[in-house]
Amino acid sequence: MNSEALSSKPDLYVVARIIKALKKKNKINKTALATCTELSYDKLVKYLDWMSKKGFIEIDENGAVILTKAGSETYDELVQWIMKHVGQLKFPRLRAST
Amino acid sequence: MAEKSVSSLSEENVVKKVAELMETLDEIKKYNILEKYLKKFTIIVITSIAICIAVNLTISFFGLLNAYNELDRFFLNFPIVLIPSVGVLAGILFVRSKMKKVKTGEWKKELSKGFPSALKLLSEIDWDNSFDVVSSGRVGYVLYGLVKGAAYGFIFFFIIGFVLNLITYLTLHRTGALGYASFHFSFLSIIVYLRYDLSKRFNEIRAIDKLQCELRRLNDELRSAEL
Repeated sequence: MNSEALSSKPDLYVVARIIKALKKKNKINKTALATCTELSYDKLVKYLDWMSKKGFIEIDENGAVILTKAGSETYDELVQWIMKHVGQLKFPRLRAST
Repeated sequence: MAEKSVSSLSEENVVKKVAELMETLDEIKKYNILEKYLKKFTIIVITSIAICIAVNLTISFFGLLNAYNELDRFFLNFPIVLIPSVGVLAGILFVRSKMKKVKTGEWKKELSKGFPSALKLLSEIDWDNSFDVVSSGRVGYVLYGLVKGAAYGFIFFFIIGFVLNLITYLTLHRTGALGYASFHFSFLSIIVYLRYDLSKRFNEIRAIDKLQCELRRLNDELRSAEL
């Protein structure tokens, strides 16, 4: 069950949460990571498998999760990418007149 | 260290931008309220105008003010303008109270968690539903302005009539000397008012349409994004 791969496209929000937590704590075990990301353990493991295959994280011999340079850069790229798109938005000053 | 600061600054900017977006979407919800309660607003306003006309006709028909001289009749008749004024005010307050009840800022707690939450909010926004609100609300928003403008025209007619009659009475010692001038002046005032009000409303709708296009593009980008 735990080793089951992600059946659909990974949720960027979940990936971002995991990376953000890993950025704060360089090394963390899976249970603690599940707690601080508010994910179920099973779901976290699926995401960690996927992230490991992508090279975003590494799991050491003690089972602790470590964020790789690639993972950190991907997160920063994601922030920049979102900023690029969201930053272009111009919001009108709206106030529904009564 | 410097890299980290730039990264967290970008995160803050994203959160700030998403907060702006959510505030705008909250404001857009209020446009639908005008559409939803347009009928009730119109009923309140038209009823007050109908009561005003009925009172005026009753006074004339039964000659309730015949015992007074022309000047007293003129001053005693004027307060009936309060009826449509109260009607319009009640209608506006009614709509405003409904607008105040619109739930806003429910996203603030989530967004306080930082960038991942901004991403979550962006991916969870029901874009079609958010903008259906605008699509259905735009006609109501313009009609609301028209109904309000028409009611203002009716009130202006009384007020301008009162002012003109007061001037002619003070200068010529007679009322009604300017014939339909109050009608023409009130009509002109309303044209000016509606031109300003409706152009403001149309500009807002155009701005929302533009935002809608930009957000649809963002939505497509988000959906097709892959790590």
